[in-house]
Amino acid sequence: MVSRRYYYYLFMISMVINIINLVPRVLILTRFDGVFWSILLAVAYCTLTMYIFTRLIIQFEGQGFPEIFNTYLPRAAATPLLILYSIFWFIAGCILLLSFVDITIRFISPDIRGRAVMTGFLILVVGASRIKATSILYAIETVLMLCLPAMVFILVKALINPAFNWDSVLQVFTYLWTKPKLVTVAGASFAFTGYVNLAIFNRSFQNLKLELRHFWLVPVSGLLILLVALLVPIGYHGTIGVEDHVYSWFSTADSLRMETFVVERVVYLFYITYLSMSLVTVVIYWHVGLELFKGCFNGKESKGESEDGEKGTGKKTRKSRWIQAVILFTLSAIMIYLVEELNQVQLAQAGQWFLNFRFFSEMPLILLLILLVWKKRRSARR
Amino acid sequence: MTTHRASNAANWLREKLAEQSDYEEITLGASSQIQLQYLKSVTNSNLVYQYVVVPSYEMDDVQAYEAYIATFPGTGKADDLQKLIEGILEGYTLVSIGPNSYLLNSVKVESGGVGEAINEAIVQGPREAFSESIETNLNLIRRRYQTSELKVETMTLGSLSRTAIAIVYDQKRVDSSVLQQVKDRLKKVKIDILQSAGELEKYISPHRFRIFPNMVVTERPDRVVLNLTEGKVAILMDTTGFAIIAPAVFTDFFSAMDDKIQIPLVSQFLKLIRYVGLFITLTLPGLYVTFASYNPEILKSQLVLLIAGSRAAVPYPSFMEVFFMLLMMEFLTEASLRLPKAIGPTATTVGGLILGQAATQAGLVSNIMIILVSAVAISNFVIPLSMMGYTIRVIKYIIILTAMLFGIVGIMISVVGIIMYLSDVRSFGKPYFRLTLWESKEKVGHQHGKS
Amino acid sequence: MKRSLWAKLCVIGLLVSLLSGCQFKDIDKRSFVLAIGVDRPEDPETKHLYEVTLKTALPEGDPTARTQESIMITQVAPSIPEAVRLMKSKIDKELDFSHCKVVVYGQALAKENIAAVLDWTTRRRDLQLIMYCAVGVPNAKEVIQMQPKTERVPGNALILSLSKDGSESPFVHTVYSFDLARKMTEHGIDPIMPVVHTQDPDMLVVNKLAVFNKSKMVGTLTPDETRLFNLLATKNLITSFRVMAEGNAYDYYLESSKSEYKINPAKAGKATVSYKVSGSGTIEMNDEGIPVTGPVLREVSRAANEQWEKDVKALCQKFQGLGVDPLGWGLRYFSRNWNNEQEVQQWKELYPELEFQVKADVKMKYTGLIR
Repeated sequence: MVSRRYYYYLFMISMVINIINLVPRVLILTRFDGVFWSILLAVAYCTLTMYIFTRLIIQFEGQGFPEIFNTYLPRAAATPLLILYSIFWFIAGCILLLSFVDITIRFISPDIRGRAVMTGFLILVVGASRIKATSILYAIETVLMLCLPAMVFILVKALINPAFNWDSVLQVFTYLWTKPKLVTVAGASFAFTGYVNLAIFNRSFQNLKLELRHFWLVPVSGLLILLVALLVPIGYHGTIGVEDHVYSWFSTADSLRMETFVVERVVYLFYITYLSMSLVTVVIYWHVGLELFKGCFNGKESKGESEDGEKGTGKKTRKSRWIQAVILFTLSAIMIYLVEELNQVQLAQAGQWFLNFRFFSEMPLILLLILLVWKKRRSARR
Repeated sequence: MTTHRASNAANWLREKLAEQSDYEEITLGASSQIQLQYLKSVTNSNLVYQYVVVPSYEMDDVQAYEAYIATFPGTGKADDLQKLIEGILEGYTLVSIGPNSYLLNSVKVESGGVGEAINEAIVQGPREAFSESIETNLNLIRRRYQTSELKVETMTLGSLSRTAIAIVYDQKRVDSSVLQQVKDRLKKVKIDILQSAGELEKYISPHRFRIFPNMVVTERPDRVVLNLTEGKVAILMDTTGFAIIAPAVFTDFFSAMDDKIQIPLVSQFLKLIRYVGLFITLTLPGLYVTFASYNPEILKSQLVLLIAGSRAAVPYPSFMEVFFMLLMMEFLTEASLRLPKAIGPTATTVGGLILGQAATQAGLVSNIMIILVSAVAISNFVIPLSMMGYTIRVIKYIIILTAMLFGIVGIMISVVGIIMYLSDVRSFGKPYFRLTLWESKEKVGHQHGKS
Repeated sequence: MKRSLWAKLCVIGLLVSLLSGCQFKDIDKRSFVLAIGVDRPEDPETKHLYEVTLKTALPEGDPTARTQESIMITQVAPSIPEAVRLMKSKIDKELDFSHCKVVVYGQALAKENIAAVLDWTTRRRDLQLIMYCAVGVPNAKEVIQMQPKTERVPGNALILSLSKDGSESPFVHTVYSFDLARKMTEHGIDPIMPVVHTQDPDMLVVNKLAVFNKSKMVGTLTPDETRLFNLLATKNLITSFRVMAEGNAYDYYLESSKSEYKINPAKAGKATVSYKVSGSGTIEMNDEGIPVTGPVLREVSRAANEQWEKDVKALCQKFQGLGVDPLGWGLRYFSRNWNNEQEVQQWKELYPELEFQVKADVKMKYTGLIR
């Protein structure tokens, strides 16, 4: 059982990781078309959904989706739902992984082949997504705490640089009174998505409470990070030119210099921090996907592997290990195939579809949880 | 009234200490009027035998014997129960003769056989190290931890060696689940011969495949005592000068006993230095391979040209260079370890200075590589506990390997991988590696692990 | 299972090593390009081609050697990538552009169009976005080839004089390639680049500024104008000015400086750019040796103000005359204007009629160590 702060880490890591790829792209694309109101709407909407979702899932203390679904839903409904959601999480991880391979061969190792980089990432992700949920939470904390100083440094460096053009930022801001766009809201809301990982990580939490004196940080930090994600690249590449950059934040980091350090280009510091955080995030996604998938094979009573146990033996864990191996192997094969198959435009398109789809599936998920809580209460009363 | 009190004292003491494995009780005299109670590990049994046991058979008269005991130097009446228990823990013997009871000074001070700590030397603070006798070692601990809560349980391990093992813990503070696990695992050990603490550590750790040490093996009694107050369990072993402490967390391996002595600012700085050293020794060789062969664009231009210039004459790829030099360094370390003390420094000089100098001049190795290898070697020795030092020595090759395959990406993959692996390690059910910065503030939401 | 998993990992590892074996390229097998020069050839027959000059470093074994040598390669080709490909066969080591810090646009090219070159430098993944950009006079090749005596690392003299890392000349305005690229696309601000010209025997002089109308160079600022431009564009410029007061010439050193401006759309169809330049200075030299007292200080300040007001106004009008906007007035206008549809059009109409007001406020605070 872990302390409450890990819940916020889950939120935080998905928040900061999103400024690399999908979210700023859609924000920047609609910078003249209601981006500010979209951000505000997204922040309001996501804070609400996050609050409701968390309040609902903590009714099932120490249980993940597989246990909840298998208990309160008929098997015919539980299994497809679990598979659907697990695919969902796998895709989230895949998109992040694919875009990071793309970034790597673009910025770091132009000579290396995408397949090789992907294999390297996969070794880590496959190895790490099978470990215990609490262990992943500990790792998130460590990696976040190692990366945060670097990120704050980069951000401060970016903002105090005289090359940062505030006029461009204000110029975008004069487009405030434009109608918000659904696609932007969907994109911006993806940044908040970390809480959904409670689907599995709820197993590690006990008496998780949402206190207002901590929770207000969620909308505030969310708003700030989204604005930073949008406006800092604009300050560096201009209101028009910003659209030319595929990975606007990497280009922004490349526009910064550390005159007094052995590494001169900030982009490498930025890359290293974001690589480690992305890898951890992919591990989170795949871990959740894996556990959800395994959940359709386990009966009602089992709760995955025993928490903090040293070693699991027996038939059940043996079976689940096989499932794991098969899934991970398939996924890895797909990834290694896809990495040379997809081009940049297709990848961006897939990411966009994913963002929209995720946005619309959030509400049904919450309704489903409400139903489950209602069922639980009714069965408890009996 | 005194009768009542005396027997009361004896009974009370028995109750308190009966479970201690080094507690001993002897009844003397024909009518069992004389009773001795003491703790073996801290009491000079020779003295007790010579001056307490033997005279009791020589003197027939109990009265005379009592007078003899009462006049014994350093003897007082045992009136206060608190004083009584303190005395016993210090090494006094309780002699109950009929209604009266006396506390007899029989403190054993182990000085012969107790050497200085060599492997975990510190600047200030106690220098004593465990000796190779379990009795002495228990004495060393008891002397530093004088409370009745300290419990010692003994057992023997090894069907041939019959090595005595003592499990030492503070009854009040110990984590019962850990204690239970330690006991269970010790019971499961089935071996013929047990000769060193490291060996035992290997047998009782759960995983076959391990990278990081799961328990601290130390030669310092003060470290054991410090860990006992933190609720950990210590395992002492006969015939070896090392004790095992379980469970261990990653940071334990980076704390020296000096940290307690220094002023906080200095000790924090020293701790930071150790982690920086860890980082350098782990990543520097890998970074060299990366910068020299994959991502020279990361460094500043001047630095890159410097590396390129110093490598200009080297006829093989950078990773070969790194492997050669690191191997030479490992040989040096190993050689100077095994060599007799008198020759050791010569080997280091010959190897380090002459070989390094000659190799660069011959153009077999770049200058920068020599600097790097020495930096790696030095920073490796910053780690206070040698077990972790050895682990780090091995892990750095994994990082070189990944750097060789993927460049900087590989280094990051392996660093994140190591963090992931460390986070997944449990030492007796306790998380091995995690940040505990906010732990004290957030006790409300936190509970200990179930297992 | 555990064992088979490790076996699996080993197999994957082996595969990877097979896959990646070919990417390993040691540092001594690369030749680092430190500066690129792009120009039009002088030969009129090949006027439409590009002449690309690369300065690559030749690392030497002995780091104590005073200078490190560099190699110059020149190639004429229809496009820059083509030129680079052709150059690869002229050198035994792999060309590595990742340490390229300077790109010099030849004067002839700059007067024509720099857009294609800029596209190449920002698009190519191993070229930094923090390269220094400059215009080379008389042409890019000569600037690149120049090897000043002070240079210890190839190309370093050029790098140091274009950046503020070495000498902090008030006549240099550092322009990074990302800066150039954004000004190329942004409405209401135009690119500028420092001009590097060679001087015999081995000197590089950077004291002018080339003004661009988007991708085409339309004029050059004199050194004095360049310094004034820097005063307007940067904060706390380190420089000194010379001013005449009461028939005596004074040199003052600028301790701090600050410039702000506002655009006031005064009447319909008219707008005023009002500058406020302030600073504080120290007397650095006094030609006649008159004791500098309070009144003299005030007098010098007044004269300096007048001088600034006149010069700044002239500079602004020069920009207006050239039809360029390197200080970003247009962008400022857009950023303060909520009418987004018509603002560009409005500005186009306003610009030729712009009026300039300059309010200088430089205070002489110290007389130096003597009165």
